Amino acid sequence: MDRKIIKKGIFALAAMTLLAACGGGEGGGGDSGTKAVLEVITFDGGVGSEWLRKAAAEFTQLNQDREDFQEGKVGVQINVKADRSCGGGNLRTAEMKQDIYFTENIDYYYMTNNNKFADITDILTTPNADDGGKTIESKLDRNLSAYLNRNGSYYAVPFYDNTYGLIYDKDLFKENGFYMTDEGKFTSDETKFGTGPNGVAGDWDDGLPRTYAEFKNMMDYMVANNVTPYAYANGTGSEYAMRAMNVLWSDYEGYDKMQLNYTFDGEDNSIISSFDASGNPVLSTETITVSNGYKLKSQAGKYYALKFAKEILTSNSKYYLPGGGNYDAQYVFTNNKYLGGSENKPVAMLIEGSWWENEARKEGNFEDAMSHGANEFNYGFMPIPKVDESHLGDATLICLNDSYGFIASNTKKLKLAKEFMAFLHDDNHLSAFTAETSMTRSFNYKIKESDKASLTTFGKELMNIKESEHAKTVYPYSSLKFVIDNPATFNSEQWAWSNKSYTANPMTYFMTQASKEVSAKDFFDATVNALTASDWTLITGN
Amino acid sequence: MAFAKKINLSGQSASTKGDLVFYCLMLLIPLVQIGIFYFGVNFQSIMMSFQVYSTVDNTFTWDASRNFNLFLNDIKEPWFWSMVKDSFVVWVASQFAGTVLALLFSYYIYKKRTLSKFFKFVLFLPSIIPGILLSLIFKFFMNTATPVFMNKLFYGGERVVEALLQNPNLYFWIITIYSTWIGFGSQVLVYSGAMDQIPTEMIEAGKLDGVTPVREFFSLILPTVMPTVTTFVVAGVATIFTNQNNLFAIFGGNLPGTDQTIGYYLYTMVSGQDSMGNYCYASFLGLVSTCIAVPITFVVRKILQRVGDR
Repeated sequence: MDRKIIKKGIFALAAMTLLAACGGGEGGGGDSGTKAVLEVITFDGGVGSEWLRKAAAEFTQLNQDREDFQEGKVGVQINVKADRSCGGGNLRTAEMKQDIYFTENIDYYYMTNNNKFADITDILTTPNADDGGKTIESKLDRNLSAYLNRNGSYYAVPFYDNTYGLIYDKDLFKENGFYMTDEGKFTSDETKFGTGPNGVAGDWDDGLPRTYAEFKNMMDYMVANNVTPYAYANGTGSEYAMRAMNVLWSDYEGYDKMQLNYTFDGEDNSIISSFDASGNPVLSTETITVSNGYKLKSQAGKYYALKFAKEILTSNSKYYLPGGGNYDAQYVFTNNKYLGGSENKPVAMLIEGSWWENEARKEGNFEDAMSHGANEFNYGFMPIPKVDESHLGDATLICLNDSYGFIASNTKKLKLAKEFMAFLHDDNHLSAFTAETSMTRSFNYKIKESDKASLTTFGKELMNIKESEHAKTVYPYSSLKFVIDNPATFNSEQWAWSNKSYTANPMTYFMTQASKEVSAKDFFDATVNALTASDWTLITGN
Repeated sequence: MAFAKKINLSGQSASTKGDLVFYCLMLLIPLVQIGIFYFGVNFQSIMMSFQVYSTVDNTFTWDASRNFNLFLNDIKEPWFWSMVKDSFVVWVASQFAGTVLALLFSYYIYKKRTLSKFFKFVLFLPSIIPGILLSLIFKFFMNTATPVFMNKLFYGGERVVEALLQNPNLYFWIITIYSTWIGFGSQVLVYSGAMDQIPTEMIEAGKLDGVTPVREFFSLILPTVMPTVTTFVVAGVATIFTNQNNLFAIFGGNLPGTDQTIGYYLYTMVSGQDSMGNYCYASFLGLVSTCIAVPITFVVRKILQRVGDR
């Protein structure tokens, strides 16, 4: 009998676990019975769910007397649930049991092809009187808008901006004088700060290394001062460092040339045609069209990103603290300088995604530092240094994550879900999202001054970048049919680093013994050779 | 045969009719299964070999040339032939080295020598532990434990020894040995079972004739279990182009083309999030693989039958 009970128990537990995963579960807050109930779920990652809970509370308050959402019900109840399993491939097969989802790693075309998303064209294209008559569509980046628009219909909105790069400890830089003058000297005196990589004095990147050479000098100076220059994940989350290389690539190319990778229409003067006897790339100008788009695989920015990665990974083992996953890297970055001891050298920079701070807080990665007396954390987002001084100029970031918000096609509360969705996407609530998360949404909006006050230093930095006229973000989406039909070729990481000779992640590959003889040029050539002209003809159908 | 005769009788008794109904119903289950899971699935796959999928239109359209041309492009590349070579290396290792070793271990167990039950248990253990768990343990052991052990043993703790599975000169062979090892279990179980069926009179007669253990193995045991060996090896031919050698379980989808097997290539092609577009070409490659594996299967069967006849 006991065995039967145990068996039944295990079976029931397994069934409950399966049902609870992502699509499962019937909401988090129960049903009051008198109100129209909306079930909303969000990916339980770096963004958290507090922003959604606050917005839900406000919406509930505003609509407490509404009777038109559901017959016989007065007011609204929004149950917000956060679930880490609610993302990526899990949703492909799961039954959609929530009304609204905010999540990441979504294949938009697969999901819409399988009728998982409700049509929300009306809420994107209808001017919102409460939002100055603006439409949500008008706040979208043009690439994103064209990609999301399927035959005139929208089925999802982008979720959050997610770029990658170097996060740096502003206090550590200040205390140790790691900032730089235009002459390449180190200083902590703000009046002597150099212009930074954008070459413009008086803005967010002042005092930061302007070129690869300056960056390397800075790392040497850090090592000499008993500081580890950077930490990064080479276990779980090792792809973050690879994606940071995509940012290096886009920063070299600039917005217009990077856009060619999604439009295949325009002139590009940074195509590497060969390497000279000294191993330096020889650049040529090409008119890029759909018929020769594969030539973009030879964009110089990719080569320089590989060269930079190889340099910072292999020239001095004291430059970095590798090992473990992204949480481990976050931990040593936020805690080491407070823990003290020869084992815990302070870490000046972290290669991570722009959501990192929220996630680190949620994972308790500030707690040890706080128990050692830390009460304030000031982090910045370091702009990518340029190849040399002749390339000083605007920053170009790239947003990589495929995160979306959408309404499930099988919802029975479509009217309510749409109203709540529209409510979340007026400027006020986009600004509130940023205030709560210190992250930005993938829309064009200004953050309110009152909301700015609640941002962390890192959040302010992200907002400064978003609002800066000297920084642009590329959204790597194309509306070209052959690109969408061949995602395995045009996926941002594949398009950049896919090759047949080495592992596709250069940042982990360059750490192996085997890569000692492999130069940045070798890796670059392998990525170029992975897509031949005849492959291209088959892909494009031309 | 007797039953067949029985059901052909014109004057069937009630019990014979009942038998016939029972026979038909029992036959229905495997027939439906084959119909759905073999013909149904493969029919769609074969159709896809001559189709192209469009994500934008969400349609499969007939285009016999595209997958063929993609294949022609692939076979011009050195990495493709490297994959073919690796696939055959894995097959040879798992089917021949693996079979020989499995036979020897089975014979040891059959002879009930020292710790034979323990070996039986240890060799069968990998078959009952989930493959992904075993791969994780193995990966941890090779990448974390072994370097520390080697460092302490050979370098007095003074040197950082590279994780073995990160060494491109070694990892393919390490994984192939690992895959062969974890494939032992079922073979050992079946072979030792087949050996247990050998009449003891035959073995005792051999002993009376003074055969040595080696002679006993080659002249009595092996010929007797040869049909079982033939079945295993012939069935193994079908795995030449499907065996991914546990590479995905250990490395994920991030292995260089030159270190892949065809099985791994096909698996990673259809396993990703953005995989729908690859289904058609993967189906085409599968069809080509079948066309190559079928004649090899007949040749191997013929060879083994001849060896068995001798």
